[in-house]
Amino acid sequence: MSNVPAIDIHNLTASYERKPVLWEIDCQFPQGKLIGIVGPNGSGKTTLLKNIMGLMKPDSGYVKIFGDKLNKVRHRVSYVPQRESVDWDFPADVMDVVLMGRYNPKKLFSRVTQEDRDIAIEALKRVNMLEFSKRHISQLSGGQQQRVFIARSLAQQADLYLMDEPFVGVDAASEDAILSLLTDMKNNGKTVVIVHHDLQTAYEYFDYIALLNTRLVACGPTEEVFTSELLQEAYGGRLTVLSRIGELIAKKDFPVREKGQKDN
Amino acid sequence: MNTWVLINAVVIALSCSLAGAFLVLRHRAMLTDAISHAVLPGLVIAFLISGSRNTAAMLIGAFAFGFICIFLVEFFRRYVRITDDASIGITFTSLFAIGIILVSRYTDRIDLDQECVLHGEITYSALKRMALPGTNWHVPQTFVSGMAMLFIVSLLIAIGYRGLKITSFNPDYATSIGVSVTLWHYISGGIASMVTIVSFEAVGAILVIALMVIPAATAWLISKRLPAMLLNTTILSVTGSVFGYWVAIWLNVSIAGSIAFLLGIQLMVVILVKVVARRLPLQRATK
Amino acid sequence: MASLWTYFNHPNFWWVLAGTTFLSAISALVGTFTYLQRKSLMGDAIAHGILPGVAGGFLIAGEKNALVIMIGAIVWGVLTVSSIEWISRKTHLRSSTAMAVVLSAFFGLGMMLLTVVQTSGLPDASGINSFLFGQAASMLPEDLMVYSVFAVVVAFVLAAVYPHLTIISFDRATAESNGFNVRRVDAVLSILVVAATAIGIQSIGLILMAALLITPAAIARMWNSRLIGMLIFSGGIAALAAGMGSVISFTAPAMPTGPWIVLILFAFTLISMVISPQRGLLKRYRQQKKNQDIILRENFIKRLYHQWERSGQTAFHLSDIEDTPSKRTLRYAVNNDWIQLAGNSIHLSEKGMREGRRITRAHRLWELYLSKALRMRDDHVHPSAEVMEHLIGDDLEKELLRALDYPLTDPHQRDIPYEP
Ligand SMILES: Nc1ncnc2c1ncn2[C@@H]1O[C@H](COP(=O)(O)OP(=O)(O)OP(=O)(O)O)[C@@H](O)[C@H]1O
Ligand SMILES: [Mg+2]
Repeated sequence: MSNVPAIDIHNLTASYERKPVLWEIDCQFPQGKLIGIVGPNGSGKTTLLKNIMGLMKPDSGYVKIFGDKLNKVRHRVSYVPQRESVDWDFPADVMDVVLMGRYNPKKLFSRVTQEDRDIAIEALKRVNMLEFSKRHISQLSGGQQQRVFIARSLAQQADLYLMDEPFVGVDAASEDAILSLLTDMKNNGKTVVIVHHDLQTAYEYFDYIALLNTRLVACGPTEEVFTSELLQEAYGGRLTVLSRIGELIAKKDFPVREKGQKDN
Repeated sequence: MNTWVLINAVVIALSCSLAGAFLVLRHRAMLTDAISHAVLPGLVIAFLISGSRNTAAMLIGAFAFGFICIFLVEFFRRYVRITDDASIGITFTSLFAIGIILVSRYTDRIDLDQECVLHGEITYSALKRMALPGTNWHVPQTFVSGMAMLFIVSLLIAIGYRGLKITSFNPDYATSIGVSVTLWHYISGGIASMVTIVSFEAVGAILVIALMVIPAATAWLISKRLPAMLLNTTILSVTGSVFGYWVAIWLNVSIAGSIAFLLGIQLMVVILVKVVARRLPLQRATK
Repeated sequence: MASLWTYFNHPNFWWVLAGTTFLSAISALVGTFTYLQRKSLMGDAIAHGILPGVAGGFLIAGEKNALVIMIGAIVWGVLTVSSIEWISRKTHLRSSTAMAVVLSAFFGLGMMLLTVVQTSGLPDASGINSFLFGQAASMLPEDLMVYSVFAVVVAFVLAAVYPHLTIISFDRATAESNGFNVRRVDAVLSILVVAATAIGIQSIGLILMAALLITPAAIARMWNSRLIGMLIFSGGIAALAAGMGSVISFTAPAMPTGPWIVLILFAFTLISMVISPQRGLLKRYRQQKKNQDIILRENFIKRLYHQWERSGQTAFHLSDIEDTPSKRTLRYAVNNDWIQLAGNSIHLSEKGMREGRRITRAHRLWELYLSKALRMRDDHVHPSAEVMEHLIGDDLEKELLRALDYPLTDPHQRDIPYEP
């Protein structure tokens, strides 16, 4: 396995309506690990994921994936959005959704092949959802919906997986099943990044953790990050200096970088 | 001749309802309301400049205003931070107002009037005929343009099926695999604008909305998968227009109004059946 | 001017003018609340949905009777709201889809009834069109009385539920969790919208009625951030537009009133968009220009300060300075006594030195803050500090000093300069 970090985030600042919610995030995620992005509600975990996946344009900084621009390595990356981000009443059954994992923007106009189908069935088997493949997606429980999303992600056959809160609304048994699946993937050399907000389980699940609270509090192997001092800092509230300067930026419509200045 | 009126209504219903399906799936149904009002000034201006019912000129005019509408909505929302629905409301009422003022100002120079804007002229759609190239058959112009539009809409949906589907269901995921959500938004909006423009003259502003939204919404309630939903949408649009036409002739009332209302009745029946079915314990056991 | 006088002397003119301005203002007040709750298009759905009530009222009364038509409109308006509510409750369709459905189906029914009216041979049957696009000039004092009575009732109800509306407009979630009956307030607001729509049908017409509910509120929002200010503003602007529309309606009787009112409101929107103090483009442009000016001149004085730091010299030649300053920057610096300029030679004054020191201090404090509080790598902190140095004022500087405990050096081991 190469030493290039799976994800390299450089000086990333991101805002909604001009107000920064992520400040100068700067960290690397190694390959072949199960990595957690952990922080309190509203700390910017989803926003960070969105910036990594190019769903938002950052105010400053950039993200490299396997040492490259996202566009060059998109086929190696799989993204699982938060479950609430879709309309589950959409007219589609479980198989339809998993097959979306086989869509390729370059071959958007071609048809589903038998190979695609086999891959989708295999993915459904791995999340234990094969028997539901003909069921309408609105008739699934929250945990089952989550597993359909993971099956779609598996069908993408990527090297890097980014999942936003895959354990929300999932019962303990399913959580264990999903976790062992993710561990399997890691053991096969895949990199799995997971947004997670439960501190209790984070310690046992992840090899590597990024602690977030509008700024990066810590980023490193779990044992190094899980100190009471760092946890207290992450969960101990916002920094007043950051909030106040963020308000100034929004109020004065001030840029975050000078004109023409690039983060190299 | 009456048969032609019905055939024209059905052809228009098919393309409108198919085009509307993806807007309904995207929860953008009210955008049809906006587009169908906003194209009016384009039609009138094209009319005034070209001095006749020149179809090409009207298409260009309407397209221009369709785009002005979408642009203004986006502009108000992004730069002045007016809420999404209010931007839609301000834009289309204003553009429609311009259209109505032009219509009443130049009422002598164009054969559009305030009523035609609302009702359309489906009754007269069979009058203007043209010969099919190479044959001796004379068919209504509206039928020819309607068929052409139906062909284009079906083709676009067949080609763009996956793109439309994935960007409607899960935009974030689509972006993550490199499918441009913005592009497909504009494609689905563009298809809707096109059918609006072509159908506007024949069926008027309101029936266009009804055709684009109601069959698709009804079909959504009874279909498990997207292909089934599209099929049901077309079936419901045909039954709605046939019943509507029939009722209109029977009661001697506005055809456009009657079709719109009958489409609404179909939806109500479907909801009632579903509500009753849900109450039946038998049904629950099988699900 | 003589021609205008004849209108002023027209027996109906003052009636109509007073009536339409009052009615429109009341409608706009109700619209302000729907705007704040992001339910603006509800007004459009209702306005289209009441057509069967209007046409039915006409058929029942057998003439253009404002009271009967008004009651018909309100009954159908309530039916429209309940249908939308029913569809979104019984199915998974969102309320925007339900609106489009109900709006078009009911308007279709209305169109059917309109054709019945037109073929009915009733006297005044063609007058029904004035409800579609408005015909202020054709309103009789009796009609106005009816509409105004309803408008007064709307105003009273609005005043009575004002505190409740305020709560659900600004903090719906909290209100809901506090056991506040949100649904009842919603229902009252819906009925107010129905009434507000119905009172405008003859002056502005139902097709464009939505504009009166939406546009004044959106304009008011651009000028005010407080609710009471918004209400006054939107009521005023609606009254103004309606007044102007009525005048046009009198001067050109063939023209419908509604489109003119809407067009005038649209013009107000565009104007506000450019010049409004809250969100105007002009203000935004000026602010950005100002930001750029600040960045340029502060960078200039910072650079002089750095050169002084290195060399101990306070005199420079203009060509020695990297990034030659613009004339504008130089003028500002001279006018503020930061420098003295003689030909091409610059002398850094005491005041300029203080300014340069302040900016350098802000820069280094910020770098240190990023390094300490955000644990950033020392070679990554510079780009952010290049901008934040221009934003950090006295207050924030104090806060930073406190947070960092009056540090002496930045992450690059350079001194943090304090005032001697
Ligand atoms: N679309 C938006 N517009 C404005 N502000 C937003 C938007 N989305 C998120 N925010 C704000 O940005 C901050 C970070 O949000 P984000 O969703 O990234 O947090 P999170 O860590 O994922 O929280 P959670 O654990 O609740 O999912 C929050 O304060 C939130 O209020
Ligand atoms: Mg989140």
